[in-house]
Amino acid sequence: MNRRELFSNFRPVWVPDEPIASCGSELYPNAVLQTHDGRSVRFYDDLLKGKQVVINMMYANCESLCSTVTSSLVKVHDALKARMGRDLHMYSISIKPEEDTPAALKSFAEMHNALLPGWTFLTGDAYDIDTIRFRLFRMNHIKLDTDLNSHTAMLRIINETTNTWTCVPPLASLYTVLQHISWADPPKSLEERLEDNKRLQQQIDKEVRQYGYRKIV
Amino acid sequence: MTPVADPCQPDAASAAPAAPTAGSSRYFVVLAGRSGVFYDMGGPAFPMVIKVTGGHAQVEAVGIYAASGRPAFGPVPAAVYREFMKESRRASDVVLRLEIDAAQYERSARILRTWDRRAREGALLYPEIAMDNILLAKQVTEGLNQCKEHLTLYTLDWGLEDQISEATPPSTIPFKYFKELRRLNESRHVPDASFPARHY
Amino acid sequence: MPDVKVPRRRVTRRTFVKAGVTAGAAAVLTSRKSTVQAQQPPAPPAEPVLCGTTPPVSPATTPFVDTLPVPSPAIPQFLVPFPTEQANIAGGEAARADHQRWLEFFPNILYQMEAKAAVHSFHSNLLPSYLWAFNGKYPAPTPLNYYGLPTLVRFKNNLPVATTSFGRNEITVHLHNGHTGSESDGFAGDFFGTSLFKDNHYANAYAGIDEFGGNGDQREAMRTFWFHDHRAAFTANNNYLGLNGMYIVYDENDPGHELPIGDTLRLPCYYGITDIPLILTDKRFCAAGNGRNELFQVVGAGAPGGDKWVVNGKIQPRMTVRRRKYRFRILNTGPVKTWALSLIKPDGTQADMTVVAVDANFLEHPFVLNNGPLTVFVASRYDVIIDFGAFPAGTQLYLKEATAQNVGVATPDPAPGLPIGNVLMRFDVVNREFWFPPDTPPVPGTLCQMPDPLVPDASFEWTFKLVTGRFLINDLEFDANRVDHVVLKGSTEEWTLANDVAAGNWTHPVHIHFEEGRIQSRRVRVSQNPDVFQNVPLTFDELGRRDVYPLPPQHRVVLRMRFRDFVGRYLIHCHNMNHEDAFMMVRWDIVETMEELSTKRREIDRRRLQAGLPPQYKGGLV
Repeated sequence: MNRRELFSNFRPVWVPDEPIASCGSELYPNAVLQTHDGRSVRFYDDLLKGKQVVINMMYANCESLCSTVTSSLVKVHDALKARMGRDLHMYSISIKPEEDTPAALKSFAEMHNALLPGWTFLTGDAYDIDTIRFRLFRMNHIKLDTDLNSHTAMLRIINETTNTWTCVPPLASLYTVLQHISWADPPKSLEERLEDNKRLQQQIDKEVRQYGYRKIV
Repeated sequence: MTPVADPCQPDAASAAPAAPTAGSSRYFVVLAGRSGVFYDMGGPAFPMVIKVTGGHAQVEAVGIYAASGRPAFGPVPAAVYREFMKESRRASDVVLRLEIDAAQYERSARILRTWDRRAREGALLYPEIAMDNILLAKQVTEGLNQCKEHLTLYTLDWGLEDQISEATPPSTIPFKYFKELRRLNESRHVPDASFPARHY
Repeated sequence: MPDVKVPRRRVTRRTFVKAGVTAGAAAVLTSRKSTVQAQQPPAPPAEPVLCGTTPPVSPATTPFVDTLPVPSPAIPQFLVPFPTEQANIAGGEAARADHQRWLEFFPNILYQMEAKAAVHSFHSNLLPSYLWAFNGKYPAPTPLNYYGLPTLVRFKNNLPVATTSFGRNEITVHLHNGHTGSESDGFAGDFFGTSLFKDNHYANAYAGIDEFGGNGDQREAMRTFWFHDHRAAFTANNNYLGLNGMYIVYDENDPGHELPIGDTLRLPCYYGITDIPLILTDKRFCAAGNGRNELFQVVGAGAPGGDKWVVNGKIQPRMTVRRRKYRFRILNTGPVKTWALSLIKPDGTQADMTVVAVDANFLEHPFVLNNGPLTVFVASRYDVIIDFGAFPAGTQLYLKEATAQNVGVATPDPAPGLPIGNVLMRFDVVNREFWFPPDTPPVPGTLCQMPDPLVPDASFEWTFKLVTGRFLINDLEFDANRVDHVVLKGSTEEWTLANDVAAGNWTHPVHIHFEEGRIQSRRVRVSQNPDVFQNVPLTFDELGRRDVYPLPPQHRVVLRMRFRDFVGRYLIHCHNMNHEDAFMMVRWDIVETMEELSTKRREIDRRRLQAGLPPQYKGGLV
């Protein structure tokens, strides 16, 4: 089937004249935070605006959970290192800002081999950190939200230009974490998606031939 | 990362009363609420912190109050909190008034002022103000016992034993919570006759 | 291609012709109506303007000004390209496994459901609201089916390429709770994007095809289904925006008419006349300043709680009913709210509602509910019969919901003890005209025969826990890509659902795809250390068959179900859609052979051991 016939089956889609704007600063706090290397940054203007980001919360004196999460994030960083610092950014925000100075965060990051390009550790005023924490991670349940550990158990992925929010437990499989991050990627063109679709069908057919059923994809 | 002062000691700077003599201040916290005002049977519910000096009460109150028949969250207007300075016999009202010390006053006032700031700056933790109000109420009441056991607390923790959160919609939880605290702390309640302020 | 890049100017028909693409070829073969449309796509409604992050109080709406709409029956269509057993990749179908049992249940009747942006007026006092709807209608048109007549529904994704709403423009549509092949079941990970379509093949056969032959075991008949988007992590958003509808299947016992022909129970059964869907949801509206009352929504926040109760797309409608029996198919489309419904007479007391079906399954014997509410969890359906003949013409009856909505217009209580905010809709009783279908006979004392009691081959437990903010299922992180249990096709298992989630007030309506289950028992933990459990008596709606199992805090529900006729990937999940989107969902697979079963189970246990967890299977079919 040639390209012309291929697309004649599609109802032409009306596309807007202007790109859809992001929700902007109304949705995000714009407090000043400190990075692990001592810079001051604004949460919305400098960290989020126009970017795709992966955010988690941790604290430097965390027992096993934060370490496991950070190790998992190191693997995620490795898988996506071509994009880190360019069109994808990682932020780890301290959930105990009174304790975590930039220096404390830096040594935590060093200890976990997490001083990597495009990955910033952040701290700030308790008031601002709480605002950010609830805005990004709240579970709409007071008991859960007042347990600090609750908010360390999820990665929040935001694409500020397309207004896409997704989240994923950081301890899910690397495949699942990468998949959820990709859901916040800029949308692909129809051509690319049709190619992906064709490839997916080939993978499905291959699995069915090999295993008798659709096993993984 | 502002360093936190010891919450169990009154802050030297702010506790200094204008009159450092024997007629020094007394401090109170009031948990006030009313049910059946809004369409979902919720109503105003807020803590107040009161500093009484020489018969004059200085009141700060933050929480949910009625504005044009609808719930609003923020600093409670004087006209509203004045209604709760005197006890009411109605079952639809609750007032629990406790005397506290300077350190407890400061902790409570700090909590209220933080929430006041959140309301002003559009930085509420929950978009649903009923949830913010529950959190505020818990912070104030649980903060009172931070340094020593001062009042008998009801454990509002959504656990197995917590019947209030099980059966009550969020907008009415503070009211029910305050009612239960009043019941548990009847002996500590400061009745109108014992309340030192005449002007507020 | 026109929709690859965001153009600076509006795409016109001329542009298409210039680009060498026309819809002409397709237009000739499609129906007359869409020929006209195919040449120039109508512009979809303008994207919504959102109203900030603080939930507004919805505008006031006067009660009972709108009449209750009924979603129109879906119209069968001739589909081009014609549906195929294999995915028609070249024709634009999303990738999938082949349709199972395709020739055996070759589709007789074809429907098309096109997901697209639309506007809808929820009340005469409100400006229209932007939403996403199948065929642009909310609720979607209702396919009316018959057991023995297989159907195919082509779901087309014509959602916006870019949106300001909080919806996600990829869909995967699940028929709840169809006995469906996995490739047509709307698996949460099988979503497809704009300009693609996917054919869902519905055999409209009873479970037990292999065992009983033909159309399966008639005792497995199900009546009231619904279909809705099931896209992982965005189900709440897309459903709040309107992507759902009802789906009804008739058979000789419940034939879609009321004539005394054949083996019919003669329940009220004229769709839209005496057999009325009641599709429930809650919404919140704001004044967006763009000529609309947009649905309140905040990106990233999940579906918000509403302050207006909506029935069939209208707020506080009224309905004229004749003095005879009616059937109402109550459906809770969520996203989150639980309803507690009762019928109230003008004197404020409760009137009878006779429940005949729970989650699409007839009860063995009808249950008359008259002293307490009917609790309807997300995704549950209840078919109830109300006999308006018991009331004189001119009576007004009210369907009450236990939690009040925000009406906004000061209105006196319509009945003693019934605030206006608690009224969902009003029934206005009139005398039956001569041309209106006469009343049906009394509801029979026995409605159906239950299938034989299930004898399990194996047992399994699903434990939902919350540990330091991590949702765990059987001690593993929720992960919808991972298979966490595998069963053998044709087998029977006894599953225990345990709610050990520490949040004390969350009742999780747990839904299991694919087949109905029979609840065996229910118990609740009354204290910890040591654990002490107490038996909970089953309610009337737990004695038959269900597919939504409410799991209050600390409860354990034991149920039995079978896994017949199809293989593939299926789901178990909490149907509170905000929880579902937070990954309270697990994949389980049905496999064909013992060999596959053992292989997969060994893999599952190997993975668990690697994570330091005890194995799930103790060898063989446990």
